[in-house]
Amino acid sequence: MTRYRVVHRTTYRYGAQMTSGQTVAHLRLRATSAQEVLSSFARCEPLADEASSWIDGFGNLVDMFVVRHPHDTLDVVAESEVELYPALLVQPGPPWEDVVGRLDVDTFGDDDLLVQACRLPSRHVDLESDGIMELARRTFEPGRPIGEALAALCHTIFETFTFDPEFSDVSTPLDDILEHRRGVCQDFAHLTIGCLRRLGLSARYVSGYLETEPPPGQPKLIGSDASHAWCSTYVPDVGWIDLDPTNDHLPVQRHVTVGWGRDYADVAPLRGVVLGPAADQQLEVSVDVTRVSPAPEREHVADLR
Amino acid sequence: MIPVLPGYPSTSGGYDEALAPDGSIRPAWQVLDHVLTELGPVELDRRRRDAGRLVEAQGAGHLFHDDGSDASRPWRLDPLPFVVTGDEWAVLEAGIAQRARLLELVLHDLYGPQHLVRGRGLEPAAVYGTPAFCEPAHALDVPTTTWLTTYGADLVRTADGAWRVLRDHTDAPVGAGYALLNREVLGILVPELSRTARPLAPGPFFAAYRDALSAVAPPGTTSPRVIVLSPGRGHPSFFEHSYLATSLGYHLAEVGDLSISAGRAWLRSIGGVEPVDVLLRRMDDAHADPLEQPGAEGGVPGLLHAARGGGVAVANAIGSGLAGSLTLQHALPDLASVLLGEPLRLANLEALWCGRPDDRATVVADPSRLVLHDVGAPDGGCLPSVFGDEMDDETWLRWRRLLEVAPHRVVAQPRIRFATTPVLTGDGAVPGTVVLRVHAVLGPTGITVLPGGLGRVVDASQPVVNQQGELAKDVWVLDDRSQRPLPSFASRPARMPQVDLGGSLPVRTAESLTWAARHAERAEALARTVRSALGMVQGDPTLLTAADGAWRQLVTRGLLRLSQQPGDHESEVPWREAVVVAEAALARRLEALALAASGVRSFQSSSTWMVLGELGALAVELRADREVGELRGMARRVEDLDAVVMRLAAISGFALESTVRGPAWRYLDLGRRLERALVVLDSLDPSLGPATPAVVRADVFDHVLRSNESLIAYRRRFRSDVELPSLLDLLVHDTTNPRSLQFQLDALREHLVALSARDLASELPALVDDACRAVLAADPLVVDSSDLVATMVDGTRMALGVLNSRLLAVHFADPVVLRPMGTHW
Repeated sequence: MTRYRVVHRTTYRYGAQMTSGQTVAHLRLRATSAQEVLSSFARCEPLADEASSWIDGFGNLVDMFVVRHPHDTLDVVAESEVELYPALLVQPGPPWEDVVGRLDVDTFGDDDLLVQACRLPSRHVDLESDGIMELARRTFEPGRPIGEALAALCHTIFETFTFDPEFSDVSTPLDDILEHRRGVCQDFAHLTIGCLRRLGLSARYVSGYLETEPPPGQPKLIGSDASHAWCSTYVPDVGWIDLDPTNDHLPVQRHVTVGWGRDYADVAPLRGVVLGPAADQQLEVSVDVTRVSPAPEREHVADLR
Repeated sequence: MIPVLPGYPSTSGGYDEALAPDGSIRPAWQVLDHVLTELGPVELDRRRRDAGRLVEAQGAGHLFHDDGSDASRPWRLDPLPFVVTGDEWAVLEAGIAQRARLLELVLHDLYGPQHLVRGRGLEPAAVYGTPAFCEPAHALDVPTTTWLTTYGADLVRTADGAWRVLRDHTDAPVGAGYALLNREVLGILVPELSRTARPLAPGPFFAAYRDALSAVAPPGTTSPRVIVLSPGRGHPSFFEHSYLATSLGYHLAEVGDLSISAGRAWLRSIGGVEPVDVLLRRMDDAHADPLEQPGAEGGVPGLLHAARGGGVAVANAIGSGLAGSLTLQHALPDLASVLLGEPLRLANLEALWCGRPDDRATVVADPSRLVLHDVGAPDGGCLPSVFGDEMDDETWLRWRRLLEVAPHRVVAQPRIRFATTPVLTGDGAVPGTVVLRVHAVLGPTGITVLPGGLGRVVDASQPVVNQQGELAKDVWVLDDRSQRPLPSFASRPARMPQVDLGGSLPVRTAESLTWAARHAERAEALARTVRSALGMVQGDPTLLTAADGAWRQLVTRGLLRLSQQPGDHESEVPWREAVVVAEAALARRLEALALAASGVRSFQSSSTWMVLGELGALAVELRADREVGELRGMARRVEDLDAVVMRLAAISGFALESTVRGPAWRYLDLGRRLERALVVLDSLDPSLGPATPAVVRADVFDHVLRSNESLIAYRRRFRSDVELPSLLDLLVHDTTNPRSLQFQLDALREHLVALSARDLASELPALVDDACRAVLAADPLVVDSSDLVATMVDGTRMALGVLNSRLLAVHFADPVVLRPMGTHW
């Protein structure tokens, strides 16, 4: 068990006084089989005049903040403490075509609807490009065990694509990522999801964080200074297996999960509208994930009186 | 054969609505045949040509858009209705009602427990794979949610005589308002027919519509406030939105007029904000709420959350469009037996959904007898529907690719022959295909189907879904029941307490009223002034050259000022060019008037719409002239301008005599007074006075007085040659002349005092006083000097300019503009 403290701060500087603003946030951590959430809060500055929260169709925690007085800056801060369980090893498993066959005919209890929805194209995951199929076929050779094929896909993307935060933004299509072989973790997650869905597998998008400063002797992971993203695929009888193509991790390690959906659009950390004059908006994001030692167990002190 | 429709084929091979296979006239058509024979083919054709004018006169044909296109010139109306017998309709009605009930249950499940998908009664890809599935609506299914309040279906009769549903419309079905308008127009166009045939009336349907909307209000609402929510004036169906709002008696609001706060929806009104309980949603599902729907354009931020919380009801509920997805059609017969325990009464065309491997194989093997449809990508992009046997190789390649990568997006229907019905054209009656858009409302006491609906004549050589439908037919249900007196709208006891909208006025409505009045006033001044100039030249052509063209130059400058033509007014513009510029400005104002008026339909009498329609036609004339660039005969021009002046006078008469003296009237009159004050200033040339050559002075003053409709008043009062002091006295200072500047200012002050209940607006009456002081600077009894005219004009114009901008800022301005916050990964 490793305990992390996560602080995610987003600052909007609007460049003018806004009359009001509404923000929907996917920032609080959900409990999963891989992590225990000790605490998770989100708040904004100036203080919201109205705030509410709900659980969305995927089970994620959503917060809404409404500021109804003039403001030129909005700070949204999320602070969480979480304990990660050690990752399970991924077995080679059955041939990947068998997994597709099972997905076609079986139902999967509570996971069923998400598993099926995550086999279809979505807003950020267009399956029509030839490049996707080519990339998928390169690693998913006929009869290859699913675990091996996933590791190979992860590795191929890690090796043949360059991490470049300057290259892409939320509107960059997958075709451009494929053509230029550049992008950020969200792009690589969408790319992997595209390959898996194109083959008939199910893949969901996971939003979260990485440890910012690694322990001595371990390399700093890519994408640790901002929100991170990776993906997860469903294998019947095993469950969801997370893989991080940006860091070539299968299974993932030191990954803190916020939530998941079909792609980025379902779990964007922040989405909002403001009412006010046109001005140059500036956006600043900082993420800090630090390892904290578990609070010492309270020692039993005998009463000597 | 039908005597009045000579040449109409006695047999077309398939089912025909008018003629039986043996050539005899079908029962439903017999009553039509009788009346039509009496009318005769010549008269019938005359009525056909009138139909276009009548539809346009309702404002439907002249909704101009900012980009100059008139995308919503929707239809012409066939004077021959599409008739259905009562017996046949009863079957259709039951089928429509059953489909509406079924689709409501389907929505409850798909946005609720999703048993249908879990048990694979529906394949997951048929639900999640259509862009109509609205993920944020998922949690909307609380027990109180009513998904469908309105339902529409496209029906067609096939060549073998059977009725089939082409599509279900569950999002924001369009057409009930159009149907109502068509019925109204046909009643005027061929009164003989409606009197004899007596089709079932639409009244009870619209009463049920109101009951249904009241019934979906949040629990505990005793007196629900309902509004019609339109995406705005640029929307192709905006005309129907405003027509529907007027017919149902609700305010029409645009998305920018609403805000969400404390879990409720609020309408910006002149007295502040007013709560709203029910929204009749006219924008698509996908564009309802930009906060939770990526890719939504427009919409009301926070609406989904407020709807989930139950603080506001949206009809149809956001996400309802899913039930109309073509991907569900193949499953409807099974769903009917599972959910209703009944067979489906009214079948849709057989649908192959390619998410099923067998169906996909069928389509791939031979698409030649099929119509292919694509329900669209997650971002909404899609391939246009095609006939399988008319695809070129490239098109088929694209479909093949889609069938491989995203087969669940493809639905194929057999290409079938449709039944025919007589359609009246310039060349007589020809067999045509009509698709019926029928409507139902799901109310507290049951489902009510609109008897009849909107018929669209479609081109059978194109897939129906790609067609807008340029020729409409009214749909008549002829039933013995219609011989009984119909329940009347007015005598129905009101079951729900009514909200009195008398004192309530949305901000945008107030603004539109003001602008409509301003455009009308400016247009009237332009028409009057051009008319005066042309008339005087017609009477005495030497005016153009007399005194080195002094009259001509003064008149030309006046025309340009009135046209608000930017540029240098000192250099001389040719007289004819000035006339053309003024007529173009007039046409622009008439178009702007139509646009502003379209947003405030419910405040205007139907007579106003007739007149606006005629003005629209005149605007087209004026424009056409300008493009040709040559002057037509003077007499014809004068005649057109007289026609414009008279119609504008009629509109101001309706405004004066048919508007309740509430805030709406004040804004209307405020606009008229402000614009008229500016118009008087435009008519006064700074050089009027001693500098005007004596030879033409009388003619110049004549023109100024005529332009301001004050010549008669002048002659009655002064009985002398026109002199500047008396002219100024009448046009500027006289508080009894309704055309004088001072009269406008006094009226403006009165309106502003009455409207300035809010603190913000209390400064406005003082701004009128500034204008009054400037007016006094040119007291004709004190000085007779051209400089003082110029000083007065400039001073007053400046004061009115300040008043105008404060008025816009205080009363109307969108406080702010909605914009998305930046996103990051």
